[in-house]
Amino acid sequence: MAEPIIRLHEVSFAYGDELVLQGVSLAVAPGEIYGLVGADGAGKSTLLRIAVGQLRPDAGEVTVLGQSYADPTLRARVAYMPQGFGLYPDLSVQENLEFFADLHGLSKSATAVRIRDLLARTGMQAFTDRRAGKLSGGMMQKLALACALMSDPRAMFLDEPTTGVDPVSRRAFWQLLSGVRAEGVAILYATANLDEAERCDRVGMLQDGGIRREGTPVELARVEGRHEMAVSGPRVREALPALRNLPGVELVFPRGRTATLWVTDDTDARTLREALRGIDTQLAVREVYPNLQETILRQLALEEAARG
Amino acid sequence: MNFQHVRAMARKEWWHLLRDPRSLALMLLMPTMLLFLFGYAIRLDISDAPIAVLDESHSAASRTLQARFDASHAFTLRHGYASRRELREALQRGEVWGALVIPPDYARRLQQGQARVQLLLDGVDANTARLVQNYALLVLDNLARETGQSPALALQDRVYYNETRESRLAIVPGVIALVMAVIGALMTSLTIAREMELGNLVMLRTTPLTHGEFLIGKLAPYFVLGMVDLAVATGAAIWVFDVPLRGSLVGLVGISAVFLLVVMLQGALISILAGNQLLASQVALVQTFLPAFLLSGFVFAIENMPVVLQYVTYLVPARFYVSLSKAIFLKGLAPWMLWSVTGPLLLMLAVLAALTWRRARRLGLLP
Repeated sequence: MAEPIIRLHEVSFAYGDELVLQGVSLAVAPGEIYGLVGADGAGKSTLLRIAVGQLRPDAGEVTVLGQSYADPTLRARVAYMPQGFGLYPDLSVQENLEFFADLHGLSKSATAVRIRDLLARTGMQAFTDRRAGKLSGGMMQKLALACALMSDPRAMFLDEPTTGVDPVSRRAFWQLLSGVRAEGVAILYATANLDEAERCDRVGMLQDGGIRREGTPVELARVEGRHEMAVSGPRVREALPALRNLPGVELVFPRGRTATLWVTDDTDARTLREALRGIDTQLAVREVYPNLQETILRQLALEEAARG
Repeated sequence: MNFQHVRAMARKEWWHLLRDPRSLALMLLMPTMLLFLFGYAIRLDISDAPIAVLDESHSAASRTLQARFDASHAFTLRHGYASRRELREALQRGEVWGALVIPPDYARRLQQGQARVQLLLDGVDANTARLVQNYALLVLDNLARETGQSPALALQDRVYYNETRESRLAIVPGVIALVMAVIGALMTSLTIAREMELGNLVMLRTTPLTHGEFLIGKLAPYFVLGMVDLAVATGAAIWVFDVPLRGSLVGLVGISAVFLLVVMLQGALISILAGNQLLASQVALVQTFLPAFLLSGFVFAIENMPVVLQYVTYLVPARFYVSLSKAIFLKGLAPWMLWSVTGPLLLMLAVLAALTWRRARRLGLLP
């Protein structure tokens, strides 16, 4: 892995007596999108605000581009998209972009070139005169991203940028983000949406104040010692109690005419098929590939069940 | 200080102003409205006050007396009352503000130098009653002098700076202070709170913008508009209300700029501390408009206030500006001739600038 651009080491933070983050460490390399996944209130926004120098951690260290926020100019070299719309709704697309270009010290000619480029990349050329407040949710987020990119940053911090955005616009936003990643920008992307986490290069699961699991989406979706099998058939519901009692089956998640089974690694499709013959001959078995979203949800269900 | 940053902030603020018709109307129409409202509504003198007359003397002397009252621009006499009861009823109905009773022996006693007339007053509005009384005394005093009945010790007075004793001349310069206090503080109190409320500040924190550039860029457009308001208000004072500008225009503009900055900084500080527009506007109104109206000496003389309140007025910037504004308009003085008044205003400017600057550092922008 290349030398990380964003590095958080043992970061802890508390709001008064409430400990929000405890010893969080993570690193984001150039050209990498790191998905910070967690439920609402898990501390994602707090961690991002610490990562952009807007909050000072109680303990730990944050470095971006090898520098700490003790250097006040660092904040101007990173881009941050906060939760919610941080731009000016009564200013047009062009005016918002010009304003941020001026704040980043771009000359008049450089501003024109940069705005033209960003408008082309975001597909907003036709909306330059439209007030930001009149844009659709997806367009607003694209504009916010364009403004954040005005400084040509090497590190970006995005806090749930696609919340409330329709699926089509969300896909367009991700295409845009992929282009930014290709330029070698390190991106820390906070989201509660597991569907989005699967698009990230690496994912950290923020839970109870710390990164509980970390890895690529494929790594995270694979649960050690288990794999998944799908059992389908017209009477699968009636067979559920029997399925739960089969040797090697740990958990059963029914969905329509299919039941997903978490089985131990020594249980293969053939063994399962033979065991099913005694229950219902019409049941079919196939191996399924893990899905991050499903895995996480099932793990949460498992933990909840364990807690009673 | 990066001028490009300041210009960007100022231009953005200007766009906000132009696109918010309510703010723009407030900035441009409110000064004129306040000026005309206060300029015409607040009168500390009377004109054509209706006075009922009951002439029981029916003499040449009583007719002369009535003619004197009639000739005064302050009174309009109403006749046709037959008894004191009718006079009291007229007062009760509010038809007249006062009633003049000339007794049957008025002419005879006048010759003896012991004449008495009675003035009945509607005391519900004590201030107006006092004004009617004073004007009536003035008429009687003048008549007594002309008929050779002046007292042994006579006061010969002469009024300087406002020879015709028109309250308008004193009030209008005070209204300018009120206008600038309201516009300056109210508008700036909203501007920073809006950035905080809408979350724009979060984005600005990841730019090279410093808190100083932010503050100056934010306040600059309001300063320009405030000075335009000053020009409009001064023009109206001179050409509409006939208030003479005897002092230096440069001095007036200079000290007005200082006062405007003071109230704007007050507004900015309130804005930063409040953090939301509703609270900021309410605090600004209570902190600037009310003291400027009640405690500046604009309408009510500070010397007549309770001692504690008199000390409180030293915290009100408008107190000093009203005093300077009147001195420049009517006495022809310049701000540098009144250091006891200009000094505190400059001190307030320095203190508020330091406080606001310090507080703005906590906005999280670059130092």
